[in-house]
Amino acid sequence: MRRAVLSVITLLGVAAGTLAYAHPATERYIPIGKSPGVSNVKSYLGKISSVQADDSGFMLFVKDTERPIAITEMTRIYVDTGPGKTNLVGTEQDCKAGRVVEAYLHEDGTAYWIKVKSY
Amino acid sequence: MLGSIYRCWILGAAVLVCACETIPVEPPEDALVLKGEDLFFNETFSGNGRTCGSCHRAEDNFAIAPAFVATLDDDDTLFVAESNPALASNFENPVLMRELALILENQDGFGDLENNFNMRGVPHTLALRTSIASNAGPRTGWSGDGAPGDGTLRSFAVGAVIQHYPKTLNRIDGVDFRLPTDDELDALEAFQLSLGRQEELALPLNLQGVIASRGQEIFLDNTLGKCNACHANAGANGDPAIFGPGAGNLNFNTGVEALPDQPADLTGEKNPPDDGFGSPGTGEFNTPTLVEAADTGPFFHNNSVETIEGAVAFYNGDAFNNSPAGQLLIGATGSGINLDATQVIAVAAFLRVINALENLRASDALLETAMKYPRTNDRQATLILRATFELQDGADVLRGGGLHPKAASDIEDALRELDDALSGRNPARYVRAAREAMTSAKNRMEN
Ligand code: HEC
Ligand code: HEC
Repeated sequence: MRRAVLSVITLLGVAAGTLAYAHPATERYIPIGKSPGVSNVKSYLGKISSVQADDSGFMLFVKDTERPIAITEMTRIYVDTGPGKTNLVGTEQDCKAGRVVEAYLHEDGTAYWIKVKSY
Repeated sequence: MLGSIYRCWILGAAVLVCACETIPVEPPEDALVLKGEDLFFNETFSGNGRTCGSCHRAEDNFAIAPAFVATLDDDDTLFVAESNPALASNFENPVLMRELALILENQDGFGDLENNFNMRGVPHTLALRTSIASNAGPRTGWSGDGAPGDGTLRSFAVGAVIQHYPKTLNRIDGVDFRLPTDDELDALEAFQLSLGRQEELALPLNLQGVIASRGQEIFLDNTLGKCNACHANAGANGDPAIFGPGAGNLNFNTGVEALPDQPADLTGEKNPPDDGFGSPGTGEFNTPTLVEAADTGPFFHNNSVETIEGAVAFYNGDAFNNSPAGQLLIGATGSGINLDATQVIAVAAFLRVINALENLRASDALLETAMKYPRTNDRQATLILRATFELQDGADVLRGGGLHPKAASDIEDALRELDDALSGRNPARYVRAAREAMTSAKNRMEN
């Protein structure tokens, strides 16, 4: 049974990607910079310096370096609309130059989730 | 109450004299674990009043079954959706909660609360040290993707507060709840890791009952029961001989969602299909431990099967054998799983006996810790009480399968001794007698 089972496991690994064991749904309500085990460790927090014309991503200015962030169909975008207001599900269009963003990336550089401050 | 010895020990260290104790005394339990326990049962995180213990009940194996739900008062925090108007719709389904102990989870996001949710049972939080790690990362919850952040057990509590604790569905941090601090996450993790079994069994055990012994053989036989492939050593991890070393806790689509006549559907309540791991989901669910199974029904992620015999029999049906995992098994071994009634009962008997053995092990460990506290200490009583929950399950699990009646009687004797320990002024004597009866019970089942 060894070979057949092993091949399925390999498939499973491809489908799962690298971060999929974490859950992106409740992430919506976790404030920017507060994601447990991710913020200050694995995510990038900065300001959008420029946006790709086709909305496929943006450059994020983190400390003193610019970093490209690629948005895919699978990227979750959550919008922080201000203190005391509920966080919303957003789109690429919410990622505007000058806005504060936290981005958590897959190993290939595409974003797993993005949190953007709209105020 | 950590006891006067501990306080005295701190005092002693500070002033170098101590009237009641001259040598430093090790506190009987780890301070971080105790802090985590307090948070787990008492901290509401400024939310709707629930705690982790609202659903993960110490009296019910850190899970919650319909029979236990039925014992709760209407003002219990579990039922908060019935009393808080802001949570009246799209937060829980009171019918499914009361009848089947199902909890609403917005596994695939909070965008369409009316239609996008799953109804899942509450898994126990026992033996987590053995049942989460995998080569691909930590796997928590029924579909292995329950925790936000880095996906670890430590982060799980943050998602639990957001899902289960809000005062309103706006779910605003600082308004509807507060999220746990880093220190609180550390403590909650330490407490949860301390619960239950800390290591895997090493099968086969030298079981004394003929039916359970045969059940163990079937379980381990990769051409017959085929259970051990996914539940190695009756735990939650894939057999390393098949899946490679360190494969750990794996996800499979075993077809539970394809079962006909699922109880939740029979109620007529809205119950969208659960697509399992990821979103959109792959249909896969995470392999649970089986040592802890027999006393934590109903079974599977949707509480669809009430008895352990039924859960074993599931593997004979079309739902499993036509599932991706069933097809995989057929491709790899030439056949699916096809046990006859006597064999189903034997495998279930095996699962009942290893569960009862774990009840004995766990209660013995609780009693050992209890007796490190000074006499009639509150904490001592709590631990003795918790040992009685385990023992009662052990007796029930054996009696429910008609197994080892003498061992069940021994366990019932131990329970009577512990009742006396809890009401008397000298618990040590009764605890000693209880532990002797427990050893006798164990030896009747395994040695
Ligand atoms: C309203 C009921 C409820 C409350 C309150 C609750 N849980 Fe749970 N818990 C569940 C359900 C339902 C699941 C299954 C979730 C899933 O499948 O992802 C679960 C799953 C878990 C798991 C996964 C266990 C495993 O085997 O992978 C852990 C750990 C856990 N909860 C811890 C907590 C902690 C810590 C708290 C308190 C901060 C908490 N829960 C509060 C209902 C609850
Ligand atoms: C292909 C892997 C695989 C095989 C083989 C397998 N299981 Fe499972 N088992 C799982 C998964 C995955 C689940 C969780 C399914 C769900 O909840 O949807 C599960 C759940 C269970 C449960 C329910 C536990 C609970 O706490 O609800 C029991 C009992 C069980 N299995 C027993 C067995 C027995 C007995 C066998 C052999 C006859 C077996 N399993 C074979 C993967 C497997």
